[in-house]
Amino acid sequence: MLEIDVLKRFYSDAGEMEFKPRLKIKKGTLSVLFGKSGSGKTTLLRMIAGLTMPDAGSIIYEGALWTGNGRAHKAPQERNLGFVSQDFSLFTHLTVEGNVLYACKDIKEAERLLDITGLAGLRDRRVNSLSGGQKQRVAFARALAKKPDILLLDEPMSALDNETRAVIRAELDAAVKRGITVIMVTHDVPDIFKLADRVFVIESGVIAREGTPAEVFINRVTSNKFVFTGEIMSIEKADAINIIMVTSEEGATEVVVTDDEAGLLRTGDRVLVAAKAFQPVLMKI
Amino acid sequence: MEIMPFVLSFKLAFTVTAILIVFSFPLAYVLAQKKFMLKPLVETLVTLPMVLPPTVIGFYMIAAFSPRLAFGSALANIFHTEFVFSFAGIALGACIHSLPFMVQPLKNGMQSVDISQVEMSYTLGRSKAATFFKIIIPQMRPYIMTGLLMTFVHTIGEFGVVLMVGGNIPGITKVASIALYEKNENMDFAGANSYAAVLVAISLLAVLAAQHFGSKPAEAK
Repeated sequence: MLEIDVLKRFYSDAGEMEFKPRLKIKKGTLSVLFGKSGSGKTTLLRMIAGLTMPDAGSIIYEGALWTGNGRAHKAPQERNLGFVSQDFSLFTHLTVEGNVLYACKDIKEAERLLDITGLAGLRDRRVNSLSGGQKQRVAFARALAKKPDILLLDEPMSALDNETRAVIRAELDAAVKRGITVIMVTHDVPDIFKLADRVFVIESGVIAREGTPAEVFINRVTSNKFVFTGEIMSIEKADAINIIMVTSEEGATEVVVTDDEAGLLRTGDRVLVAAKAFQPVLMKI
Repeated sequence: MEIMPFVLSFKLAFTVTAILIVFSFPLAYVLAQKKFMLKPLVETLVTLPMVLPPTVIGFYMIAAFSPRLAFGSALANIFHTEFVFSFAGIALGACIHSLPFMVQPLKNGMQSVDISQVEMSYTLGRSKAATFFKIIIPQMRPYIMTGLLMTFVHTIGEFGVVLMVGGNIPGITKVASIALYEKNENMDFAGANSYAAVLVAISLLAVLAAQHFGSKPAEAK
């Protein structure tokens, strides 16, 4: 269990702002930190890594005090973490393979990670010459090569194509099954539904909501027109009806369809969701 | 043309460069990364030898090394050697005179290091020492090369401090620049020219090397 109860004060032109998240994350689960830009998601990941110190509070992992009273009781080196940061922080003087081998001396594991991330052919390339997506894959392979207890991911799939995304999702699933605790910052709702055990929504410096993806996101769509495109996450048969869950960048919603309609649909299909106006009302304005 | 003055010049340059690379790293780190009240004073003192006439440095060093004063007598007791008219004395004087040529590039190098890479190395379990040698030093390589070469070539051309502190003792303090001065004083212009030409060639090569290595990023490994 990772227990976080910290306070960090920020000062800006708008005055003092307090960031005081309080959350508990179970070992061997994948948790998502969700919130607007600047809400403190990256700061929270850095505090878990021991790279940013809170002003007060504590971070406790499996009963051991990592951070307390504004100072590190365990250095970042002792926390056995893997960290994929937004800017990747690759070692620019090393090759692709050099970056992965920096995290572990297990050449077989490094080879496997280079293979699954599609980097085997680029192993001798300088990382500066790679594209954004390739750099992201190197950062991911390096973080996994460490065989960490906790994997911290800051927008880990933002620059990836769909094929690589599927591979990384499978690796994350496997990592969680091996008991690794994954904490991920992402805005990608379909990814959240596919991967997350729990979602923590950060608003105004606190954890405003938490729960499963369904608990946090379903029926929170606020579009006035209620027309959106999305992806079918699941098709569930309940009595005489079918409940289709559709996710989009806006959130997720459940739609009831007939057997005939459900027969044409498969999980993963892209669909348009629109509300029907059964009884239009006319009012003078 | 004698070879010994050049041997001494190279010995002096290697000694000074070796001493300064060791002592300048912590100094450059403090100046690049730390904030403290006396920082402007320390920065001024480190830069001062660059603008001070070398004879001024030499003059105060002779005064400081005097065995009649407490400091000079303590130095002689600790190191069991005289610092005036000795190789140790000119090496120490040249270290002070060349200090900014080593510290300034190292300070710039430390400021250029990508902190996020250093942090990433820590999260990957690497110690501060391992991170220093495997991440920080390779990133600083062009700056280190510049510091080494500029210090070396500046010391090869050292004159004022050497003349003041070491005088002109053959085989001990008579470096190439002093030998050139002596030839010129004796109106042996052909002899002076031969020393001068070799010094020009050495300086030219060192500056070319500094430009080459100083602009070249570390190779991928």
